[in-house]
Amino acid sequence: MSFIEEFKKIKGSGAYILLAVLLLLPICIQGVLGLGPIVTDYKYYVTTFGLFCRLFLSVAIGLLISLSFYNEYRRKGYLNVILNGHSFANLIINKMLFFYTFILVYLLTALFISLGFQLFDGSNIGLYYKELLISFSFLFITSILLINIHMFLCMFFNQHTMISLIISVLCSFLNVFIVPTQLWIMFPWSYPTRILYFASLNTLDFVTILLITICSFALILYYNSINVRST
Amino acid sequence: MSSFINIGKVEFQKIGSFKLILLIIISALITFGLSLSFILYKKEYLLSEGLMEIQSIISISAYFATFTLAIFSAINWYYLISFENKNGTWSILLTKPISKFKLLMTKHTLHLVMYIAFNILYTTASFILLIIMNIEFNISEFLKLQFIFFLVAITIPYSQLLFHLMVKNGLLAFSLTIIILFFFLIKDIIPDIFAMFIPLLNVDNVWIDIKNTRIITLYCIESILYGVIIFLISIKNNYYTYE
Amino acid sequence: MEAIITLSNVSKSFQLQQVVKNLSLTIPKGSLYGFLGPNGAGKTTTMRILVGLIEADEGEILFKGKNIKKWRKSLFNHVGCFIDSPSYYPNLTAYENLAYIQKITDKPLAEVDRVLNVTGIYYAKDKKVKNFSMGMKQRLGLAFAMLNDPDILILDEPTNGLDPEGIHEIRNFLINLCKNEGKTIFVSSHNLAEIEMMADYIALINQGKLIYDGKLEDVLISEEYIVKVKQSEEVIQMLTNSGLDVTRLKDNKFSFKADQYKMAVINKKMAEKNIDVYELTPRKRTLEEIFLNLTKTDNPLKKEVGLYE
Repeated sequence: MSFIEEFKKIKGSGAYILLAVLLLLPICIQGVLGLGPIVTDYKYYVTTFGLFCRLFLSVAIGLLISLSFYNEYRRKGYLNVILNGHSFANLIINKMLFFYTFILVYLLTALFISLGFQLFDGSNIGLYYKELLISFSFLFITSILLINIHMFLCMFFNQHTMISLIISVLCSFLNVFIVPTQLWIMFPWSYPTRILYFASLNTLDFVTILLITICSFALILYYNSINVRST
Repeated sequence: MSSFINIGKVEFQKIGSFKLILLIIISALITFGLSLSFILYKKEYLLSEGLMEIQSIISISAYFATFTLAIFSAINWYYLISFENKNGTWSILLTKPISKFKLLMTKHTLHLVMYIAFNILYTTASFILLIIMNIEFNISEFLKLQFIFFLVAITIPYSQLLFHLMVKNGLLAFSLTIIILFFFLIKDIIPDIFAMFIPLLNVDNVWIDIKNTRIITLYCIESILYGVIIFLISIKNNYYTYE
Repeated sequence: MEAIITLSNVSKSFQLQQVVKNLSLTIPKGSLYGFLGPNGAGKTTTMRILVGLIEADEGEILFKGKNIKKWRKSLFNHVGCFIDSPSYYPNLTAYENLAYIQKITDKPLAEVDRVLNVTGIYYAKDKKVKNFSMGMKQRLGLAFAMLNDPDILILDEPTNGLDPEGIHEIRNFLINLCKNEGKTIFVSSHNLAEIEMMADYIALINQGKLIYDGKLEDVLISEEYIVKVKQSEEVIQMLTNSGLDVTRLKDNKFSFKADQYKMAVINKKMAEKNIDVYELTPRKRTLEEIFLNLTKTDNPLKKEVGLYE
């Protein structure tokens, strides 16, 4: 489970505190503002997760990945790996596993906080747990897609890993305008938000998202295999 | 005074005058582009609701200007403050015979100059927008609305400054811009009584009751006070040393 | 000698760890003062406190007898600093980096060419600093410190990353500044041989505490004497009978430890016995030997050189 060691690499940089802020701020504020009889059940879940998915999730992913790669490329951390006989490809796979695990835990934390508000509000989770599970599963899948995209950006712009962070912030801004339009399917950063309203999506949309996610895996693995790390 | 101007000029050259001018122009262009696209996209709706008049158009362009201003000011503070953190050049600046206060005042002044330049270009963009949309308007009313925006929107760059002071890394501070956007988007669900006292939301609140001079004056004063307080915090504390 | 900078009981802690403990130093005017210590001893922290980049928790710093709670900008007209690693604006050229400082401090631009010449990077003045080698960046850092010809230079490992020729050049330059121009130079370094060659005074710190400060020559001279005489066995016997430990060395030499009074007595006895003395010299220690011994705890050598506990 060496990918857990990736967690320690950006410990102490303040990244985890920032990530916690980016999670707690929207969920808690939206949770408090949504208390009352107006929004209940699944709609309350959407209320708590709405802005988190629209604005904060892609920034959190961009931040996590950019900082992780910053240590490798800018601080030449990857040299320690290579000079000890391990391949750069293995390093990337460890990172991938770490990012997926971290985001899963991150989203689960968000879900638990949201569930806390829902229970406090008196929502009956038993009535909509299936919708919750489907929505959450696809939320995780779309987060994986964003992780793959940002990893690719970091690997591509290896000396400028913060470009990935800048793109995540700018795409969060654009999300505000693109999510309500028909153009959302062309903009992967809008997928986590649209997934919350999965009932309004058709099968083709789901298939498109899954296909793009699979292609992103292939792209990352292919780029990783052809990428000859130069010092 | 002349040394202030001299330092400001040198600071401007150090960061890159071309870079900064380009930043202002792009920000204004983006505001103009987004406003125009939105108005054209919603033209039918605006016409049917009788919203094709100066106040509504200015409030729409102000809405987009808020977003571009948030990013513009984040980049600006990055160059003025965080860039020194990144290069470790505070150690040179603080060990030379130059007053720390003067240096920081110059940076703040430069930022204000950039903010004014942004507003001038934004005003020009709004003017062009009104012309394109064939809207009749009174110049003095137009200038009054733009001036109100200029005063209330000062909360955005100074909120960005807070982030840049709290987080030494400029790019991480830049990512906190999303918090500004978040507050704008939840503004409608925050009870009005609280929203009135969040200075960051003044730039949006001000358009609700634009004809009420007292309320507008209150918002303007609140925004200026907010900016002044953050400015005082920024020059008082040791944000620019190793600690 | 007149003290130009005095630190009195300066202490500094970072997150419950005391990095500098009751440090007191006096830097004489016109001296080249070497500041030594192992890694993590607190040298750089002390230098940062000295120039006001960080504030000490306790203690006082006097500049020409006046207390400086906060450094006023006028003091930096007299002080040039190079602390930690070189800082610069990477996208500007060397000339532009230095010219920026001159312009914001309203000083003449001609100084820029002078310091670039002196530090040997004039040829690269129009090259962007991000393309500089480590040695060139180090020289640029020195150039920043030397702008406007300050009376006092505070330099943290100025020859770090320089080639032997560069080290030689900078060392001679600093010695010249001190001896011929009367400047006061406070320099820290790991290169003990270099400090030994140029410093008048040294201070040695370990784990934040001062363990020696004083003249370099005092600490290098030991109470051990190396002797070569014609009648070695007779002298060795005489010394052994006096209760002294004699160590035989190569080339018919031998050594023993004795203070100056005992040495005077031994000299007299050898003269009375008509001993032919070929060599009688106090053994000079190296700074490396002193440094390694003094930074170990419970070393008897500490008592010998009059250390601070």
